[in-house]
Amino acid sequence: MNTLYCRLAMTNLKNNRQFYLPYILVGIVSAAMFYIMRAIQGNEGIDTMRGSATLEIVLTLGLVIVGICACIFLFYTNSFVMKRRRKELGVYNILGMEKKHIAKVMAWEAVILYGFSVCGGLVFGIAFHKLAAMLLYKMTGLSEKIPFSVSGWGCFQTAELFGIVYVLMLLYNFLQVKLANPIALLHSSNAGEREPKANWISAGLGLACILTGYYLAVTVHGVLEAVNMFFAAVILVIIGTYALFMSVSIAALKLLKKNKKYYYQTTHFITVSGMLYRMKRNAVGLASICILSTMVLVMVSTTMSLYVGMEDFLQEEFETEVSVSLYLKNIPDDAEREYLLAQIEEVAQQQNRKMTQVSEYVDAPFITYNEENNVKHFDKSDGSYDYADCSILYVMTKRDYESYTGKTIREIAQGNVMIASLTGFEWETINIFGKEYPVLEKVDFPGGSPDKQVTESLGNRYVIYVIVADDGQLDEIRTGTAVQYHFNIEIDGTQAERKAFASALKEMLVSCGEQLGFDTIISTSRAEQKEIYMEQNGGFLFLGLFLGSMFLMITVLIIYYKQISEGFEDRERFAIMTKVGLSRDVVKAAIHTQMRTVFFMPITVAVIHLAMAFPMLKLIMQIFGLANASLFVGCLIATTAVFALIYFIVFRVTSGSYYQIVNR
Amino acid sequence: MSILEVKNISKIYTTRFGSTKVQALSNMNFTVEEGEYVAIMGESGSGKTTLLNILASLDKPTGGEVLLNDKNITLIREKELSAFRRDNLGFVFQDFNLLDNFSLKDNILLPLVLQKKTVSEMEARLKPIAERLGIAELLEKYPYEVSGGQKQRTAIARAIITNPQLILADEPTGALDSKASAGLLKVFREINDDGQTILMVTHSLNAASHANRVLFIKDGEVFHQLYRGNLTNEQLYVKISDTLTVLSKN
Repeated sequence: MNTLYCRLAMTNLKNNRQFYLPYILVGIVSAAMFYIMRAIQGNEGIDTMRGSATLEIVLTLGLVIVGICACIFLFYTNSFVMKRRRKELGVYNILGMEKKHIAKVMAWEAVILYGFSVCGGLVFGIAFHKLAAMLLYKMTGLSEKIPFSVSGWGCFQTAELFGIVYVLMLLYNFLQVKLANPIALLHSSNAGEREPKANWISAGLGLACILTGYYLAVTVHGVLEAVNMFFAAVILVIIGTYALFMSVSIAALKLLKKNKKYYYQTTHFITVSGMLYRMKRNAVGLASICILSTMVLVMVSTTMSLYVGMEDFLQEEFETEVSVSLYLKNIPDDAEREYLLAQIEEVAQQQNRKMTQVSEYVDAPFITYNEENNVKHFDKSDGSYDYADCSILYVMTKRDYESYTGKTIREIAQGNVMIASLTGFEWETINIFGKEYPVLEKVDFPGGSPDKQVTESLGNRYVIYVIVADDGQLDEIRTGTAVQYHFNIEIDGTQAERKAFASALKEMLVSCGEQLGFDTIISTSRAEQKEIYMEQNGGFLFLGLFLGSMFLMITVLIIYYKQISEGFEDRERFAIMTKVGLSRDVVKAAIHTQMRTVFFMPITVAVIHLAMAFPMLKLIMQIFGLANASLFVGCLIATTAVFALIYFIVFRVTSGSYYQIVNR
Repeated sequence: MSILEVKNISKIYTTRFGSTKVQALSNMNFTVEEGEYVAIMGESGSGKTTLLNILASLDKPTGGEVLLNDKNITLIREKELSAFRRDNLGFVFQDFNLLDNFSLKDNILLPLVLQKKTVSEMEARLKPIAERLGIAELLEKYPYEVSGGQKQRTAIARAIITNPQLILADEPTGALDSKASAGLLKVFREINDDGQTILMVTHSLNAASHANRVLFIKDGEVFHQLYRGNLTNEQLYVKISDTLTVLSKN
């Protein structure tokens, strides 16, 4: 008896291959993707590598997203297929199969589908695992010598996750059959379709949502605001997009229909009425395609531009190859400074490197609270101001300012100061910690300080540089506060050689800390940073491409099923119109117009979303260190072009199967 | 004057690999005069559907010719066929063939829209027809909201709104209950009294007994025909019944 059910299930799958082939394909690809992600994420080799923390978080995140997407995706496909198969199930029921028999057939079908999907998925997953991992290692610059092996856990978890999903889907399908009586099952595929009603309220709200979202995105100022507003804007636009497709479109078509002169023309007549139904049935699918497309575009273009823009970013963010700050109790004297420089020179010689530029300077930083030209120490216990009002004061000697900026300034008399500030310091004197100093002159604000990130987040306007005559004057102001001794070094050599120099330099500094009286060393090396950023941005790019291709696949599948279901709907209409005297060419042209409109609407809306989101995305990208707007635009355009091309190809291919159905 | 002449038409279907040939029509001849109301009867497989498809120019005969107003429709080029159909023929089908996504009004207007008539002319033509068929109140409704009889009357309205030379009806009462059938046949009688030529293919004795002439076809040929003459519907019904009995015995 069981073999009968099994055979019946096989025949069903074969007869419905139009639906089940893509279904199985989806299963295979999602299982393969899940396995690959799990195998890469679970590779013990990664743990042993330096700084794998970021990558691991990125990969785990990816694994979760892939898992969730696979579930949603399979459920969508399943419910689509079930809807189409109701009639067949009704026939079984009428032929005398009890519901439990139908359930058995369905269970067999599920087992077969599961078997194909998971086995196929694991085969492809194992085959492509190495390729994906190599891509990841190449992008992140990590070692390629990590051993590849079949991940037992990956196989097990893939089988487990998909097992749970298929069981849940089977239960859902049982419920569908259980709830329905045979007559309802027989007729459910051609139940009378009500004419869609224009819902003006939801159309209005939807438009308002989108416009508000756009407004937020376009008018946003500053990085923090962009981050705060981003999710609000995204959610508004997502809601708005669904409303746009579900009610705004129908409201607009209704308006067209009311215009009799327009409506009663051959092409408009067929198109408008056809579109009304299409929009009603496909609104959710189209909105989902639109949002998925937007996500793919954003994800791929942002990660791409981060990756491509990394070198520029490093050059800008780290102005010299190596920069070191030492914290000293006393201002280093000339002998100490020369000694340290000699030591650095020696490290370079040992490493066989040639230093192309070395500069060093001393400054003393203070956290302050400024009232006009009155600079006071920042006092946490003073309740009249808080952290938002704090400022930074740097004090340095004329010699160090010149060494730092490379600019020569005129002599400063004892007791006088010069000021560099971006806020237009307009007073004749400055009061620093209770002592009044005449301001001789204003000089250029130095760019690229070692505290750049701090000062930038304060907005630079709260930063004042005070330049004094000599070390004695500096000592007078600092009264015991530590000074910073900075080196900036430019050096030749390959990435690995420069990295080796940086670590040798650090070693040397640690060894002479006691002798020179410092215990804190902050050093950054562009070569080291590059590795960190490669790992982070490469991981992001990998994830972006991986998820991007997954979303693309979901999109393609939704499109395919949409085309097929529309084909079945249109077939009947097509036949009737031909009988009533519409030539095949006209019908074909009309349907083609509808199809094109429906097809290209989501991607058009997605591109508009993207254009509107650009100002906000640009700001958010700054957090990740991408300030190069034109690079970002380039990546966006390139991604969109590639996406549109793929979309178009999918359109051509799927409309082929559409015409096949209609012309049958 | 005869509006439709069917001369020696034959239709042979060949199976896909050409091994078997099926003769659906063989040397069929008949004419329909202007203003006539003709019913064609025959059993399943007698060639009714093939004949109707050829008359509707949906299919071409393998031999012979069909003249509509002296124009040989078998020679009309594929491109002009659709226009020819919508200008000269009106169709009433068993399953109505209304488009679900159009209101009744739009369904009726569809052929006129295809003929690119102006909105005012469409409405001027629609009004008397809708009133006469008793669907004036239902025009804004959709096919799934009305009864079978109302759907069929809508289909008739769609068929006659273009003032066609000939109405071809394929089992028009097939999907209707007896009351709706009676209503439909009354409508056919009325529009025929107004001069509309009707050719109706049917299984139903009752439907055929409303026509002025009944053609019986068997094995792809016209086997016999009956004229109403002065007979009432009931008397014609009995004669048709007798003929069918004879027909089935041979």
